[in-house]
Amino acid sequence: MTLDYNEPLPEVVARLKNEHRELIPKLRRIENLAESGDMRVVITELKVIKPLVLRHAVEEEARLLRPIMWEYKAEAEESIIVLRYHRELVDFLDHKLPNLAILPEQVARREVRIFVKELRNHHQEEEKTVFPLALKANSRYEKRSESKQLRI
Amino acid sequence: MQESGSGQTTDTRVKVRYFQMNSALPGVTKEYYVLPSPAVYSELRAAVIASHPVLTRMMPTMLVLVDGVVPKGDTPLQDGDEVDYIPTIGGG
Repeated sequence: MTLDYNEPLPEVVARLKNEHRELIPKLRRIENLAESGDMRVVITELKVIKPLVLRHAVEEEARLLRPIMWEYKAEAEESIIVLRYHRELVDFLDHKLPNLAILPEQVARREVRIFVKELRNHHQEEEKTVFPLALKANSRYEKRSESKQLRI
Repeated sequence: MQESGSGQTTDTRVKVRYFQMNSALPGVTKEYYVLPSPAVYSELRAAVIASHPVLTRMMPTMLVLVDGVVPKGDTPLQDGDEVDYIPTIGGG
């Protein structure tokens, strides 16, 4: 997986937000199917979104944490806590998803519903906490770089 | 080596911070390491793993920042540097 570290951070954040939006109907469909639909379709749909969700999570960590740590280390803890959820995300997609088909159906349905609910909450937390701080950090860094250039 | 007493002027003393790693390192959020100068990042990494073998498995997916910058093994460490270890899924 290659990340574009030259893409300006505001564009990265806008794109990541957009990816959250694009996932909403997919998660809703998975959630509805997990209520009473065919679990084979649920598993297929989860496998389809898996690479997108993982790439998205890795990019968030790689692109957003650095400016936050650089400019606002003292305020970074909350963002790191929010991003720590990615471990649970990996755990579900790498370890639970391959075994959903062999779980008792009601258990599998519950696992999926919990996953969808937590992922949705996680996206909201990112947009409330991580994204604004990353943008603030980027803005502060750029202002400092500009004033440094002016002094030179 | 982990700091055990007063540092010497020829040593490089760095502060290591562990973010949200309470399950791997209960109660440990920061430490100071003293390395013989000139020190590079790979030496600190080895010292951290020697002190906390549990981090060996986590190290490849950890975001590591030396004063905010991702280090390479041969990145020089300066006296007073701050090194941050942050657990991620993709690493640095």
